[in-house]
Amino acid sequence: MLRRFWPWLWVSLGVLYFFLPIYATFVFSLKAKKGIFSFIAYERVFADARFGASFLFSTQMALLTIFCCMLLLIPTLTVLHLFLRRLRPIVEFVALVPFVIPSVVLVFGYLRVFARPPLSLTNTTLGTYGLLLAGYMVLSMPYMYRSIDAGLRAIDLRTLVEASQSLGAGWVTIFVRVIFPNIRVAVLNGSFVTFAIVIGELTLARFMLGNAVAFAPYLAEIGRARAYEPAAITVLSLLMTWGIVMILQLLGRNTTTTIAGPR
Amino acid sequence: MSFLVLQGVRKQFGTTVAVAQFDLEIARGEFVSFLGPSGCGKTTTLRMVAGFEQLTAGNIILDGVDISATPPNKRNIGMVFQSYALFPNMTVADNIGFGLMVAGRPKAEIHARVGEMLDLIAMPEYTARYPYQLSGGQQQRVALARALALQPQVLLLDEPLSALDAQIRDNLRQEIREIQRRLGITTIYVTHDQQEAMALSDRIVVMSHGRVAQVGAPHEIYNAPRTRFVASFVGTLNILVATVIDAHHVRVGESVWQVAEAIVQPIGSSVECAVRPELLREATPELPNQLTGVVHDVVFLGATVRVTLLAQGQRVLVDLFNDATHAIPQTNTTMTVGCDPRTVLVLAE
Repeated sequence: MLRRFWPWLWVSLGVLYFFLPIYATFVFSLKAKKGIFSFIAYERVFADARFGASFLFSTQMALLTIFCCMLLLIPTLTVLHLFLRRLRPIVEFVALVPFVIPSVVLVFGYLRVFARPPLSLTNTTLGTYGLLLAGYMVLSMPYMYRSIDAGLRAIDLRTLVEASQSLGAGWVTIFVRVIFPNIRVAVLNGSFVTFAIVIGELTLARFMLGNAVAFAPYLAEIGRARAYEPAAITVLSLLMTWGIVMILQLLGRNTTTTIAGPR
Repeated sequence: MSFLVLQGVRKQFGTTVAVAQFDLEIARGEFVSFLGPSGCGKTTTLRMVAGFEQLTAGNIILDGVDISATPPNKRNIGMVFQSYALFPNMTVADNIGFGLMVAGRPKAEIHARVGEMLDLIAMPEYTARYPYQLSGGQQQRVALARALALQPQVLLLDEPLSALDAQIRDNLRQEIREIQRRLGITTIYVTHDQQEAMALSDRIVVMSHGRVAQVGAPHEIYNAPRTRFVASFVGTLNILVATVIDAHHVRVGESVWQVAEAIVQPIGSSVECAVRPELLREATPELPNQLTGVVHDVVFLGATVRVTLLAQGQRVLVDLFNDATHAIPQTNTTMTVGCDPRTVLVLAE
């Protein structure tokens, strides 16, 4: 009996630590009308067009960041694992650098370099979005790098690549048909973290785009002026983020293709 | 005309020479094994044929075409790996059909070919299984089918049985040989297991320190090894230190032995004479080469009995047939063994 008590105690403490603040936020969001529980705060949030627009913008940026990180890191890490193993410690160190550089330093660095010729990217909307995407990629790189690296270490990469080559496959086929499906779970893990980072990222988005374009600056702005709506938005954004992460996971599970025979 | 030619092939990693001056001609449909200890360059040579390693020098010519610089995916050479290397995300059928899919063959053709290959390896009911659902032996059969599905010009096998247990290894060894004979595919097989090489091969290439030590049919390699290395690596060997008396006689301890093949070393020089344990037998008056010693150990192996004899300061192994009508030698008794002069090899270094 006692043996079961301790595991359950720790699990319960963990659940409380995680869910209690969310529960408290949810309860607080229902108290917009004095004396009763109501969804008035939620109604107001949905009435504000900027909520949907900013969340959609941040979701799009998050998905784009995940895609670009995959495009950049999977081939790079594959090359490192196959041909440049001695460089791995150096690249690992570089991948950790974003941890020690505050976002505010990063954004001011970007603005100093890219707000003036010869690379005046911030003069155009597309250029600014591109710069923001690059910033998101840098911030999420340590997580994506670690996940993909762990995925590649878990498979016999060299032999799988050589087996594919001996069967006539070129590099594109090897990446799409062999490497990616076998590190999919690792890539998904990195993607979830990347998604959460981009949705909650405040500094880069605020300094590059202003207050209401991306989701986190919008949330911060609402928080300054109102009491209950930010709590409602927090609960909604948590639910939506979990929803999207679950969709990503479901999509990720069904990427195998049939070449021959039944499955 | 030779189908696959390796001309002066050399591979160097930095200052380390992995393969030095490797020359070999392989006929179409031939089964050749590269045999040697770890680090002798056999796998590196195989990988150069596959295209996974660039040649430092030399040429590889396949069916009259120099493929030395051809990338591995354009060589039409199938390969089976020690670790199976099946794609974990694909079913058995998908694994076998992968090469055909890459080649852009129609789905119906892929389906039919996969079926043929599954019949060939006697696993038609395993189509929808994933590699993790198969045993090691089954995985390696699928890997073999996958390599053969594209009908490659050459099949390379890199120690394919070394990760399997003894029983499965023996069965799969037979299957590989049967499939190779049935399809008539030119095959190179890398192994460090001499029995495997002898059981499978038309010819064996014994390698040592990146060089070819000897090339020949299994019986040639076993019965007439050219160097001490080949003699000691292939099979068990008794090596006796002797002194040359004349072109056909040596002194082994206090006995004079006859040697059938003329000795090239000068008279009075010290040489090494080699005799296989199974070629020594209990002495009879007509046997000219005799050696007397004390029985140190007797091991009963079923069909044979291995006797360890201490003779003239040397340990000599003798394999006797287990004849139920004869008593097994007892330890600490004296025993005289002898051999035919034709079975004595005078070894070069």
